[in-house]
Amino acid sequence: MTLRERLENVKRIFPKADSALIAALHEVQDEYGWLHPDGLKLITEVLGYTETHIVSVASFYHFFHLEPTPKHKVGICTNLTCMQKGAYDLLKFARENADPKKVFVEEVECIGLCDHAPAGLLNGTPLKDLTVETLKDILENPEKYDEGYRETYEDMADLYRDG
Amino acid sequence: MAKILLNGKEVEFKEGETLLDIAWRNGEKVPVFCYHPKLPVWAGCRVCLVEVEDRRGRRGLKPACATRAENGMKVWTTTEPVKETQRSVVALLLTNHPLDCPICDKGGECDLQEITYLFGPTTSKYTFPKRLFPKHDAGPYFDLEPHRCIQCFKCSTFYWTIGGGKDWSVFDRGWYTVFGPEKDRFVNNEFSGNLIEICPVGAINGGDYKYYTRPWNLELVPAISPEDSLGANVTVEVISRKPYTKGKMVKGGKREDVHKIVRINGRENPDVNEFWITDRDRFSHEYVYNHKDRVDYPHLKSRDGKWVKVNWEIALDWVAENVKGKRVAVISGGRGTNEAAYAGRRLFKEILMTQDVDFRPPHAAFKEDPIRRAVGYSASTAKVADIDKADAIFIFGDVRETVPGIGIRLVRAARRGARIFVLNPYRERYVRDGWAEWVKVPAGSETYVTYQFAVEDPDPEFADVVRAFKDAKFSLFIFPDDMEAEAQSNLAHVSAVDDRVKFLLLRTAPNGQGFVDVEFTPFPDGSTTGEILQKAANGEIDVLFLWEVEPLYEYYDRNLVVKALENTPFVVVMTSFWDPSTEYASAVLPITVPYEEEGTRTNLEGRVQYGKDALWPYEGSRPAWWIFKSLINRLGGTAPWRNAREVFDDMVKNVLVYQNLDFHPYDMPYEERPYPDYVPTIAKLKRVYRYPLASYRFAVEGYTPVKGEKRDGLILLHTHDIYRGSYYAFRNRIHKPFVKEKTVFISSEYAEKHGLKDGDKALLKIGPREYEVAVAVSKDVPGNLILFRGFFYDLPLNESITGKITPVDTLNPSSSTVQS
Ligand code: SF4
Ligand code: FES
Ligand code: FES
Repeated sequence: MTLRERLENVKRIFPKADSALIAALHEVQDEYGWLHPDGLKLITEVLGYTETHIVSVASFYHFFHLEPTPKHKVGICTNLTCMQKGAYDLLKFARENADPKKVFVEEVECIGLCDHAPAGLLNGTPLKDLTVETLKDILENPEKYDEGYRETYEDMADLYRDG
Repeated sequence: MAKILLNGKEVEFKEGETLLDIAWRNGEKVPVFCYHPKLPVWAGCRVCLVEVEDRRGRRGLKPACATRAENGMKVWTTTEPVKETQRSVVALLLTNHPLDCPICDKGGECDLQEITYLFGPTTSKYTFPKRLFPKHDAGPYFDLEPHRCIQCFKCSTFYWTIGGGKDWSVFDRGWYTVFGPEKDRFVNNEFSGNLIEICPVGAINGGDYKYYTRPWNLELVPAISPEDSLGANVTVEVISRKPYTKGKMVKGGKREDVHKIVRINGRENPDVNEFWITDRDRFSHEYVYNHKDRVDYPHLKSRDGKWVKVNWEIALDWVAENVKGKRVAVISGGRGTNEAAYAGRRLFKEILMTQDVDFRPPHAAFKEDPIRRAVGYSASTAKVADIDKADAIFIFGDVRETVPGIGIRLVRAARRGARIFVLNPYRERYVRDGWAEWVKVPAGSETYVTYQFAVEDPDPEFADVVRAFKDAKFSLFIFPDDMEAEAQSNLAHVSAVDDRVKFLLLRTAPNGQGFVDVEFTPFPDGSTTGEILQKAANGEIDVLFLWEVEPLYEYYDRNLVVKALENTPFVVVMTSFWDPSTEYASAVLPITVPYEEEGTRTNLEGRVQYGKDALWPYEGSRPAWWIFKSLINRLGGTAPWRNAREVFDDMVKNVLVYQNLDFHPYDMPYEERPYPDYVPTIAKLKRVYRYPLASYRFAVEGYTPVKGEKRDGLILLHTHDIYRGSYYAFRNRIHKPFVKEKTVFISSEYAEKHGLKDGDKALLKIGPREYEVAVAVSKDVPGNLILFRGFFYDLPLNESITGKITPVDTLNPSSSTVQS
């Protein structure tokens, strides 16, 4: 599906433009890795918002990137359990060794994988029991680990139908 | 009557009032930041918390601005918990607010300063660094200092709900929250200047007032904006820093340093502009000091073509001598006060016995008044405030460019669900921003379209809009007075035969209604502007007066104007500026600019409003009524008036529509605004409003709507421009970035067909002539339209044009021959 079709799909699921906006931003970020102006322009066309409004909403959220960012994003959890298991060392390692053109390293809060701490996320794919070695491999070949988990909105649609 | 207990006192209230309304009405001091009487309640700042106990005995702190009073409530505004929260709210706001009041423009009228002083903590425990933001250029009108922002959201709420703009928002979150336009964009909304006024701190500063003075140096003068016919109520703020000592200027001081307009703010008038004024009203005051352009003393042209500066005695004697017994005609811009128009009418119609008196530009100077023809008297039947009541509004033309001030009500109407239609050849601002529906009217077919409202079975193309009109309980037509005459008559007629319909006539001349009321018109049998010019060109006129008008800028037919001025032996130009037509004059009489004279103006709904003089007249310039009076006295009439007020009193006796004026505009008191108070200062200003016109409009018998014809084909449409087409505004440098010079707007279709790109230079061929213009490709313009905005002065459109519209032969991409 082209981006436009995906946006139309989002619009179909969330008939109210307000509810559709975040999902639409996710779609754009999936497409480009960040909120590319071309994508934002598409949103303005599909949802009828002005670019100012979209940027205003997007800038509120940490995980939306308004600056150019690579597609693969490794998030390392630094909450309590992971922190005790050495998450900050991993984070430091990742920040130092990642190729900024290939992966973007970010900090995330608890992702509910405390039993596999230190844990992380690669574009939504859980990374469990991280070590320096596995992390190195992930940073080098992110596409190998990316299982392509994406948010699907179909099941959420009922929630939004009336509101 | 429902009651609450306010600080132990029993007070009454009306249904729906908030605790804040009641507390303020009873003189209790409740501080506010995010509350504004005309904005939706945001309730975000929490400084207005009061202690409330409801009937069931539940007690707690509630925001006064957002809590509706209920019978039996107990409310305290000064208890310790309230004071404590006020202290801590202010303390928290101050953690991120720089304490740079000495260099802040808002100092002296800052709500935060005031509230900190009255309700805040006396010391600060905060020792950490404060945030800073990179400088952001938001355009000529603004100087944004986002680090001072206290996140009250007033600016955004205003911008979205009242200004109707879409390019101002809030970005980022928490500590780094910043309000403004997107990075590196200019704020572009005709109401944007109001942000400066409503921001409670110095986060949004005015580009004109920046670092100039302090509010306590200012004298506040209530005036009426001369920019357009809405007559927005403004406060002209004049610096009187070093006043004249004993009538002499302080040594070394320049006149403009001591007595100068430093800014213009809105003045409350709920029926006209509420609090809000447009940027054109607010930022157009620099021209007053453009001394190079201003005419200082009367000038007469000597025989060898040189200007001789003379005093008024000589100048007036000379003019009087030259007009006596001659064929006189006068063209005005419709910009003077009512007093001046009345005095002028006396001079020209009664003393000089000429009927060739007009104030309308040639394309709108109809032989017969189109409104009078249909409904008996030429004035709007609606009031501006009726926009708030209408459930269907039909706008003809581009209001954003002509009378932008009514936009606040249009946005509000759209928000409350009224249907707004814009019937215009191109997509204008309200359509673009989603406030109105667009009904595409082929340029030049207004009569045909308006006719559809008058008939049972309309053209299917316009069936939707006509159905909306028929279904509406109360609908409103809004149209400019330079639309096709038959179209105006049709609409007026439709509204006269159906009392669910009213119309608002947008006068293109700022005081057009006043000029009509005092009969500064060629009716019944004088010549209109176009005819006067024609006669002058044929040498049939001996003396031509030009009064506050620059025909070489404003009229489409430049060649005719030049010919008329050349062929008239004695041209008297009454103006404030050395504009090009003074070149053809035999005498130039300097008149004051609007803020230098007192007097009344009538706005488009017939409201007579008084404006005080904010400044002394520049050098030897005099109010126009004084010049007319002096000429009357020299020509054997009697005009005993000593000041504008006496002219007004005389006028009330002699002008028909003023006979039932039940108030004296000069006596309407106004309150000075010395220093800010703990309530928004803006809310305290006095209201000055009344109507003189009785509603004696009726459908004229025997008038039947005209069908007109539907045109198509390629059309060059010349329309107004908010800055470039305004006599005073275009003289201000501050508007420059928003003024497109010599540009034609074309559709992408057309551009493609002719190989043009946005920003290209092109040749515009009209008849035998060619003009070099810049091309802007716009998706708002349909395929068969070429749009040109603003004054004609750079684009000397020539005789092949009849009316405003003309077919265009070709619009070629710039060839190499153009460069030379
Ligand atoms: S910029 Fe001014 S008006 Fe806007 S939120 Fe900040 S303090 Fe309030
Ligand atoms: S603390 Fe890291 S996943 Fe919960
Ligand atoms: S919360 Fe009431 S004024 Fe801000």
